[in-house]
Amino acid sequence: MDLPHKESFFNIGPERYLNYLFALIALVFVGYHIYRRYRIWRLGKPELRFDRIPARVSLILRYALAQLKMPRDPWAAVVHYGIFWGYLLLFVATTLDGTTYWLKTLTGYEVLVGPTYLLYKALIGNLGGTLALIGLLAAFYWRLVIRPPRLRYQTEDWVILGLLLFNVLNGFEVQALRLAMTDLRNHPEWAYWAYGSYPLAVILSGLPDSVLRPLHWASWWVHVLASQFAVAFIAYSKLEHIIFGPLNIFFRSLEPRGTLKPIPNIETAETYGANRVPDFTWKQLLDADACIRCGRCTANCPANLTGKPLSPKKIILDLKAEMDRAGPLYLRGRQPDGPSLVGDITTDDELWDCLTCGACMEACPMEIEHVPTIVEERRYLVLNEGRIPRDVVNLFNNLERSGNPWGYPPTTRADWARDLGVRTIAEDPGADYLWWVGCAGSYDERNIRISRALARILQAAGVRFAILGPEETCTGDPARRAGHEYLYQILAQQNIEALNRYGVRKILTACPHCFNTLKNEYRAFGGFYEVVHHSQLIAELVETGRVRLERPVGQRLTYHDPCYLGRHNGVYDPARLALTRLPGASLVEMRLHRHQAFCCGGGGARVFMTETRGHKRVNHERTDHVLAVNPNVIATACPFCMIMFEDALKTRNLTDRLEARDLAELVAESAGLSLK
Amino acid sequence: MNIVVCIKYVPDWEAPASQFRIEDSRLVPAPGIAYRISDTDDEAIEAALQLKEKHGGRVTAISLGPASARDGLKHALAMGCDQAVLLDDPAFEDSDAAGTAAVLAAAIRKLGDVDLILTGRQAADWDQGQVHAGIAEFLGLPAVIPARHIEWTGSEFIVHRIYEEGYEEIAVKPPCVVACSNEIAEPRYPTLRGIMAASRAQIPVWTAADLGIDPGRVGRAGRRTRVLRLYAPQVEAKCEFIEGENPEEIAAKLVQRLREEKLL
Repeated sequence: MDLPHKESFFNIGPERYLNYLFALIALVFVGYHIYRRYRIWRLGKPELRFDRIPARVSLILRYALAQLKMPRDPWAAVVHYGIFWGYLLLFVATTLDGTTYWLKTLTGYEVLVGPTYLLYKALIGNLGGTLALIGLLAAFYWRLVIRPPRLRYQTEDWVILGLLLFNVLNGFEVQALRLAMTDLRNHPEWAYWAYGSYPLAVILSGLPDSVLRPLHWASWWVHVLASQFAVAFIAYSKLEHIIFGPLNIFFRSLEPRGTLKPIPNIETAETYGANRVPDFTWKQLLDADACIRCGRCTANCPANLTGKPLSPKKIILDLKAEMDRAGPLYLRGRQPDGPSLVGDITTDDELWDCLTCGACMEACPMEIEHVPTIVEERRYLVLNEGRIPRDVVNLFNNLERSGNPWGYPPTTRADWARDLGVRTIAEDPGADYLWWVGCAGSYDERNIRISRALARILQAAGVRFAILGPEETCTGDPARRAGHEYLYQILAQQNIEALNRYGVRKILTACPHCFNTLKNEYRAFGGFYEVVHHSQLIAELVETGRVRLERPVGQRLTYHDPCYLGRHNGVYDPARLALTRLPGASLVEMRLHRHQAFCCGGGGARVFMTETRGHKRVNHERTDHVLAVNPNVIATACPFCMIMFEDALKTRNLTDRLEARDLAELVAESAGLSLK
Repeated sequence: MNIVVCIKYVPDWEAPASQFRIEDSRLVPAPGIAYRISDTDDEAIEAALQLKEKHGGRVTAISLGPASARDGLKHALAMGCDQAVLLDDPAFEDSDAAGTAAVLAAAIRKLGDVDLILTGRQAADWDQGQVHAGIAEFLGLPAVIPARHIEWTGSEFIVHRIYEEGYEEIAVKPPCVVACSNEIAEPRYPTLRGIMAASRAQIPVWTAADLGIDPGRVGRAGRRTRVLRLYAPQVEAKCEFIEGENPEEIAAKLVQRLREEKLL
């Protein structure tokens, strides 16, 4: 036959079938490993992650296959795309090769023949090998020369890279040896298509068959064994991410990122939060197995970057180590003793450092959910152990006694609006918007100014709104994020009762934390509302001309994305839209903005805690990001961000060159409204 | 070791003065104001719990008060007290310090077998600081007032009693009364398990009849003191900024100003 083709198992005798035995052994190793880990996941609590399958398939396509998070780090992109697509193509090539062989043996029909064969060789086999080679060489350069600090440099990492590189080179070598004995002699024009191994084939073609034949035979077997060893090695190394990563991506939460789950049946639960392996959900345990230790979470963690002990990666790997240690004991029905995960291995300080900003989750290529796990461990500290920092105890006491984090009298909640003619929902039950003012907007002196500016904007634009007044209490967000789920549920139920009593449908709020809680978390307790953030409403009022921006304010603005508005709820644009409409102002972006924005330091109830650890305060670090683009106004849209920035500007004596202002204040001023 | 802690449930003393009205020399808090266990009473509970955790025994919280004091007792149970008793009777209303001490002493006598009676140094609402001494007097027990530290040696309590220049170490045999100052312990926040157990707990109510108290000796009828005048003092606050080139200069000026005001 003269059409381009290849002789399967060239130069390999009947011992060729041993190849399948080795493959089977390797697969048994991998299968047994998956089974063992599966049993450990099953120790965890139930959690519904089988809903909305099409959305989950789309996750797989975007994050497992296209790996859309990779390009954020160009080196990682070259390395990982190279190795991943390279090896995927090589896997396809081998599978096609085997299929063709069996098809031909059983039916006599040959598929890979003619131009198809040449294209297969060029675009699958050799392209795969070439891509993998590029990725692997880049990996060595990256790790040996650039040495990014976020990576781990342990023996295992080098063994894997060495193994993969060996397999690719060995593969080219096997092909080159075969070409030297076949195509190069009979059909050199076929050999060009194997461009990866062609140069080596030309070099080797000078050797006599007595050398080429045994060398090819030996190399072929080395290739089989080394490849199957690499497959088996999936079960013993971080290569397990090939299986657990896509699985974890598939089961990712489809809720908005900031949403936390209630403790079910909190009144009758025996333990609260998570410390032992069975306290976590199966998905949280799977998270730990999916970790590839790339360190992106920690490299993006504002607490870690300012020198605090928290490392999200360590939190996840601590859990994995606990699964390795205690999991098999639970499976044998024993109760493991020894160190406690929370307290001894993951320290209290690490857990309290978390801002719940979600930068770790945003960065994680495996879609690990660090924040819910950290909050679950905080719940254990608070509800089970009562190990709570003093500031947090004060916070809880104030929320319990007064319904606000500072302990102001609940009766004075609406005092900020006394002279503004703002009506309560009891006075105007037909209002279009129930404005949820929130504790900061009601009590904090700086944020009251923002509430007043917003009230004037709404009044000028003719928006019919009402407030709850003294019936409003804290949404419970800080209690929940500090681990006090019970207090959160009490506050939530109280608020939902009040909102539902007035038949509230549409809620406006200037606080992203309230926004997130009202919109995403009250549903679990029977509170279903359409929730609008003030940046969204203001943008609409500006766009439709109901608020006219006439006076120039600020010259150079930068916008700080609040975590609970941006990363957690995907609202990035309305504030920017309104800011760019301000006459005479230009908007400059900080390096870390939108989904990569750096927390102000106030999330996760940290705004109510003294920052004692680390070499720098988070709000000072963020202020440095602001200073780097040299604006004269930091625009924000969150009361906690405002408190953190005000603090940073004052403690660093920056008040005469830089102001922190809420979007509402800037818009009110530009519209010529009173700011008093 | 059996410990009784006497607690008082009072309106939030950190609430601004605007939250209170004065009617006929009586203080009327605004509706909706938060109540909490009086300052230093919660520290007394913590001190009792720490002694119990170290040496075993039972901690009983008692409170003389209206039915709402039940919430304070629930909090004490949630923190880890083993039982609680509410002393409530119309006859107890408006007791002065002596009357309150008489009722509490009767309740402690009824509980029997008590090694240590802890109280706060003074209640956050009236700041009188007399009830602990009254209890000791009625029960004929020694009292250490106020204490910043307490420990049990196996036969006696070692108590650090605070005075202006420091503290003195006193060894006292049980049973005795110790009034706790805030330094004695940092009150814990109850665990959810504690809160849940407390919410299910039954708190018995003892009346004057239960305690065998003559209603004429306590409450309004039994008062030996009366308030002549109750008023909110006018406090004038003035804010003054001390300016200077550097922190040293500002500090020096501040010291000078404080001296002028005879505050140093």
